[in-house]
Amino acid sequence: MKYVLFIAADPAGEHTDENPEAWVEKWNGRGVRLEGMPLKSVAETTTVRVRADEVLVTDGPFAETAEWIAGYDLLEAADLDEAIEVAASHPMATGGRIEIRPVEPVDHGPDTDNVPHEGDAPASRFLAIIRTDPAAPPHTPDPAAVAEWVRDGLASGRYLGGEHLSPVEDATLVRRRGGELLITDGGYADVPEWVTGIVFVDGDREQALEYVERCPMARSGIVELREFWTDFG
Amino acid sequence: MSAGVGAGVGAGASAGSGSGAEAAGAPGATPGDTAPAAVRAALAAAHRAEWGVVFGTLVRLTGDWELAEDCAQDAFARALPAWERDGVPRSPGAWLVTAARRRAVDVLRRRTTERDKIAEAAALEEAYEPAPPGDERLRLIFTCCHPALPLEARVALTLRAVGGLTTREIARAFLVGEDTVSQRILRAKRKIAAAGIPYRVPPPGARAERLGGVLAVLYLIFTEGYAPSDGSTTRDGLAEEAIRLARLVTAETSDQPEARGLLALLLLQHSRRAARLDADGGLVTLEHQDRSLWDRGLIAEGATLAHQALPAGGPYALQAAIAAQHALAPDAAATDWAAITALYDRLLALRTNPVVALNRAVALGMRDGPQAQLDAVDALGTPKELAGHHALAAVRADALRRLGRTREAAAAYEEARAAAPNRAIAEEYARRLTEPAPTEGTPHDD
Repeated sequence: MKYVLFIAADPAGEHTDENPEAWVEKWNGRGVRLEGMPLKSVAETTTVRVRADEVLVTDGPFAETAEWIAGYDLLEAADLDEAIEVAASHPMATGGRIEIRPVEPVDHGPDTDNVPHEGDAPASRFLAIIRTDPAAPPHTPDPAAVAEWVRDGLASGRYLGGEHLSPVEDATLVRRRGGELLITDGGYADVPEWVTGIVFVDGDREQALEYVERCPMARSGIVELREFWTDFG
Repeated sequence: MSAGVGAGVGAGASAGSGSGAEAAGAPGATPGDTAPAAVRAALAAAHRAEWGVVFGTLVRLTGDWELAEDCAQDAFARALPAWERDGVPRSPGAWLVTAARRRAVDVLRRRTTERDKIAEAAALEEAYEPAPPGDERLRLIFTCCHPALPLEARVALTLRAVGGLTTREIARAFLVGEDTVSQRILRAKRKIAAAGIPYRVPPPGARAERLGGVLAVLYLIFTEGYAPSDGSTTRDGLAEEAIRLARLVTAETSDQPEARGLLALLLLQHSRRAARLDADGGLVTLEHQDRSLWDRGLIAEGATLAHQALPAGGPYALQAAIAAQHALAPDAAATDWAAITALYDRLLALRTNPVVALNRAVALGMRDGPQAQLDAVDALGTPKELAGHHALAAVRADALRRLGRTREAAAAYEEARAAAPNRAIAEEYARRLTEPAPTEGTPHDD
């Protein structure tokens, strides 16, 4: 099964000097970790919503929470227990908190398979985090419109893949506190705007923004545009 | 109950004795019996003993929790007329598993024409290998108690899938709506499938830790029966179900002393059930309980298990050892407070816990006198787990009263009474408030 790990900050986390390099090496070596990248500061988020054909672009995350997503990893694990083992061995299980989300396969039609972006240098510069908006009227994006948006993005080079996640009820939170492993039901933060998917978006900031403004999910949900931390080391 | 069989909470075999786990039939029902009463009794006994095995086998074979439940129910429903016609089978469990498996094959064949489902059905029919019933139960209980499931869902699913209780019985036991229980179970089943929770006994590396989670669920079921959170009187059925499940787990995890420790703790606490409440339903504290009402059989079994579990020194084993000290003392005055204090010290060494520290202060007070108790309580300060907790004020009040510091004791009792979670406890503090000062004394006061 495929799982997305959201590596999240947590003010209640414990200090750790360990960096994730050994973790990356270990799980890449076993073929369990497929890819992953840290994100730049949450303060640099651009939030996009489209309501009644009006595009609403705001600076900062939609909900200011003490816990925020600092990076993601994609796993191919045998089952949840293996995903938990992977998450539990990440330094951020101690320093922060890690949400495990099962991936739900989505088929957008021919030639729209997720572009593989394995290894440590995904080609995309941005990550679009798609969230539900409980305040917006319930609305399921038209699959045909989503497929068209994906095809369009593939043609223009904006869309470099994405993952649709199963509902937040299926999320598992992993933390390590005082040396003890804590496994609980639930997501990384107690907010009603839970993450439904992630999309890898390439281009400069203006191009990326223009592309996510046309995202069908922005019409009923919330899209947060986050920049990957690609210029380290 | 859809199948019209099975024993409800508190009915059926007593939790107090016998293993119950491997029962081959009801007492008095012999293989081949067709008398309706004997068949019904055999079926009820089989439901209690075998539901988890039948259900667990079908989950293992099909990987489909809904289908497994449907097939298990169907097998029990078919058993009644079949056994009345042909007699109670020699091995009711094996008969039920076979019937449920046949049903699964039929359903899978009918459900779809997809090639893989047909293949699955064929495999189910041909390549079935029975696993020991204990393995089936253990796989099931570890999965039901997976830490990634919400706690309430773990409790409901364990009682439903392993214990064989209906959603209605669970709803009644926890005083919640049937819909609530159904939703919790549905949610748990959905997450097991969607999140990829494996159906297995965890590998050795994770086993002890996950077992801790299983034992915590069983203890929660027990305490809900023992001291219901709604403040009502005890519900013995739930406590007995927890003991039955703890027996099943203990039987299959002989290398895990903490399972034994939990079972010992449950048996020893349960042994006092008849003495815990007075005629008006008021709570009777340990020292004032009529010890002739304690169940000696449960105490003997619990104390033996506690003794076996103690060398490993896990938290349940230590709590059981403390309970055994109380249970084996002929009267309150003969309690070995030195031994109990030492056990609390070991418990605290495992993990700092203000509630345990408070209990240790009481034991210390009984060993060394009220000044030692007061010093120990004051040394605790006001940890956040105990802030505003009635017991903190009450333990302080007891020490002050025994020291003859009546006015301070009265203020502390008043504080405890105001914070008491239910009337029985509030009344107990009001009573102690009016108790004459230091006359009662303690075994080691002078």
